Amino acid sequence: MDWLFTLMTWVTLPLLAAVVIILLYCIVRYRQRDGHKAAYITGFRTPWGLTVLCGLFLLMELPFDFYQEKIWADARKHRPAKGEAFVVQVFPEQFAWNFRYPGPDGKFGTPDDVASINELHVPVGRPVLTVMRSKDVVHSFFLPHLRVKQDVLPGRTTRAWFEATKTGEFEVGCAELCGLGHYRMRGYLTIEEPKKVVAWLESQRVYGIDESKWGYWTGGTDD
Amino acid sequence: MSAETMNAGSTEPFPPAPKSFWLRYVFSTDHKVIGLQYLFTGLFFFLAAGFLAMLVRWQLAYPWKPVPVVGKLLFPDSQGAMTPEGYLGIMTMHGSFMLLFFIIPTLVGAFGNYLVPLQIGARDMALPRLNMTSYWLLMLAGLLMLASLFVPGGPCMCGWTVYPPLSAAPDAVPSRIGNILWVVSVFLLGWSSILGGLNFVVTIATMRAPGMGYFRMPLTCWSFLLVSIILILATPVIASALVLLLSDQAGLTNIFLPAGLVISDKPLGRSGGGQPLLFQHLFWFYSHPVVYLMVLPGLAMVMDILSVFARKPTFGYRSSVVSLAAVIAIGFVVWGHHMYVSGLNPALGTAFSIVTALIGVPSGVLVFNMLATVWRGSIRLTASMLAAMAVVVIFVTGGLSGLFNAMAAIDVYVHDTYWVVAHFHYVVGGASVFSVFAGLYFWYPKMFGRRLNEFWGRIHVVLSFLAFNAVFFTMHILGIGGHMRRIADPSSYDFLKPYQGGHLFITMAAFALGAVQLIFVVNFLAGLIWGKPAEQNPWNATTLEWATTSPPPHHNYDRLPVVHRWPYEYSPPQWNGRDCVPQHEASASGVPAAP
Repeated sequence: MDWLFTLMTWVTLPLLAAVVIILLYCIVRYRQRDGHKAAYITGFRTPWGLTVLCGLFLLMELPFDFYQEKIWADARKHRPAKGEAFVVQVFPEQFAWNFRYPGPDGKFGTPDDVASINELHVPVGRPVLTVMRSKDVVHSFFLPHLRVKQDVLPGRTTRAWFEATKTGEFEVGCAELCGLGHYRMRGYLTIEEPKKVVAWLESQRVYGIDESKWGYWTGGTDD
Repeated sequence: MSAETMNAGSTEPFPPAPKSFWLRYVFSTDHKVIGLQYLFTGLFFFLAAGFLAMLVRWQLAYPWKPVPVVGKLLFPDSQGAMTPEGYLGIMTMHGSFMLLFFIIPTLVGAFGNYLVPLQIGARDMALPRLNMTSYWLLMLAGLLMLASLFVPGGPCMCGWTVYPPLSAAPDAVPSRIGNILWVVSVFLLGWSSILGGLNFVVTIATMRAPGMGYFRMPLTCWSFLLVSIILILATPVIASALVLLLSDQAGLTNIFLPAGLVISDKPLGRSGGGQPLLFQHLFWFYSHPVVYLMVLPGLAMVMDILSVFARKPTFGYRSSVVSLAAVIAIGFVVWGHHMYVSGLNPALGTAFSIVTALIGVPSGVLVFNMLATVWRGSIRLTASMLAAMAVVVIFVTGGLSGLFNAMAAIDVYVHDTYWVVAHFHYVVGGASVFSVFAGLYFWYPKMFGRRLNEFWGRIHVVLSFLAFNAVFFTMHILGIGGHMRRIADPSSYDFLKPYQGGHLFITMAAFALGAVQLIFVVNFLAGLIWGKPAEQNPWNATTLEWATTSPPPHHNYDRLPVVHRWPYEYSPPQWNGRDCVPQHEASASGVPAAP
């Protein structure tokens, strides 16, 4: 996505500059002065002028449509297969991110599940699939450093996926106004070696699953 | 026999202006008085919304620090510092005031009402009492919105997009009453819009002066005819959606509320079954076309003003009309580009990306026509012309940043960030506000019969343009950094800490932008009292509103004009080197008829 953004910047900035320069040129060159009269031009002389102009604009835009479709399809249409991905359930509420991991058996809703609040640990080098529902209002799951954003709705499951290539600690943001605490609805994303993720999950097991919270998850156990 | 042929060139008596003050200036059916009522209402909300923006900017530069001067008054419980409730309420009211109670009433209500009958050569709107009703519905809506500032719980805190469940579930935000008042207010505003739109269509269809064919109308007039289609077709959708939302708020239905909602650990206990996404579809089906409603009349006014001050016919008149229509037509099928990350089917993301990019074609033609109009002109740099040129630059900037957001792939990152805030403050905010400036500097002499101070007008426009770009161009950079919008305290995120300096710069520039508007306010008010009297046609323009006195009499024209040519006969090759030929001037024999 970043290279498309950069490319777009280098295409659009010169266009903006051109418009400003043309206007400044007109202001100076065609300013009102004695003996200078405006030309009487009502439009293109032939319909071809307009056709070429429209064609030009279309030709400029179409390649971007194709490029962007490739990235969009990767982000949204080509989700990793179920067995392949590291799956996390995300269940935000005003104003916290609740995460649930399936545990060693790979299934949700079993006693070996692990839950955490505002802390998301995922393995590096493996696709991560988040299965998300909201407990109350619309939130938006935003991983700025990974260019991931997906609204999280009550009563409907949405998904996002990514594959991290570097380890590190990053932030999780809420990008959809969700109430008074929207500005501080922050989570932490830790990307680390798969072994460390397993160890961290084991260390979290002592806290158990808060049924007063996850009892409201209506997405079914398989999601 | 239509009214227009009956009145052709006639001096037929028109009901005289009512004698009583109330009927003449308050409950008036005169389109000019109503236009000015819209104007003053709109400008009041403009200043109020601008003031709220200053509060928002203070909070973003100095989070939770006591607000100077007005802090103690506004936030007595927190020693003058902003509160999260205050921030959300103020931000929501800023957006609602600006979009719903400034831009729509000023551009469409004020300029539309004032100019349409004058530019087509009519004595009034076709339905004057309906016109008055539109204004008073707006006034009622505005009063309700203002009243919501003072109710327990505060004004609506859900953003001007009022997405449910936040806006519908009780206790999701403290502003339960405020949310309800917001919905009722905007519903009334919707009625005002629908009636206004109907009135424009009927007026333009039936009241044009003899000889005023559709393709002899100025682009300004065309734009009001075209955006009326939006008013008539899109507004009922939002009005219905708001009724449904109101019924959800009242607990009668669960149209937008799904089953199993749990607000702060308390189950809502409603059967649910609704879909929050449905509201987003209905909302944007109206609110996307409506941004064209907000910007197209401004662009059309700018095209007319560029032509007047370049002393040159507008370039590609018919292609501009078709482009305006095309923007509106395509504008009805692009609403999904506000919802790329909302949980839509990804295939829709692809489709909406493509149609959105298509809007670039007619918009590009409009910009090309604007540039080609000034090219080889004889340019008079009046305040109005400077503002019009500012609109061109601002619209192009916003249009180009729009190409980024149009692409679903990029929008995934920039959606709901300051990139988008910058984008819509260019296309909807800046383009509309500077169009209002251009229009006011241009038509003020006609409206009030007095001239504004040109020197201070130019200073105001140039300084505003510089400050505006300092504020909003910088926001693009915050957006590229992933800075989310609508967060009260950016410093609560570590990755946003490097942008605090940017916020400080934007805030300083925003204060400058606010301060510069005082020049405009003083100029406007002083002009009413001390302005030089304006002659009938101070700018040597060709359209019909300049064919009568400034300000026009109650009946607009002593003798209704007859139209002989198109509205852009500037620097014509015939006519013995005359600078321009007005629309209503009969052709001398031997001079070929212009288009």
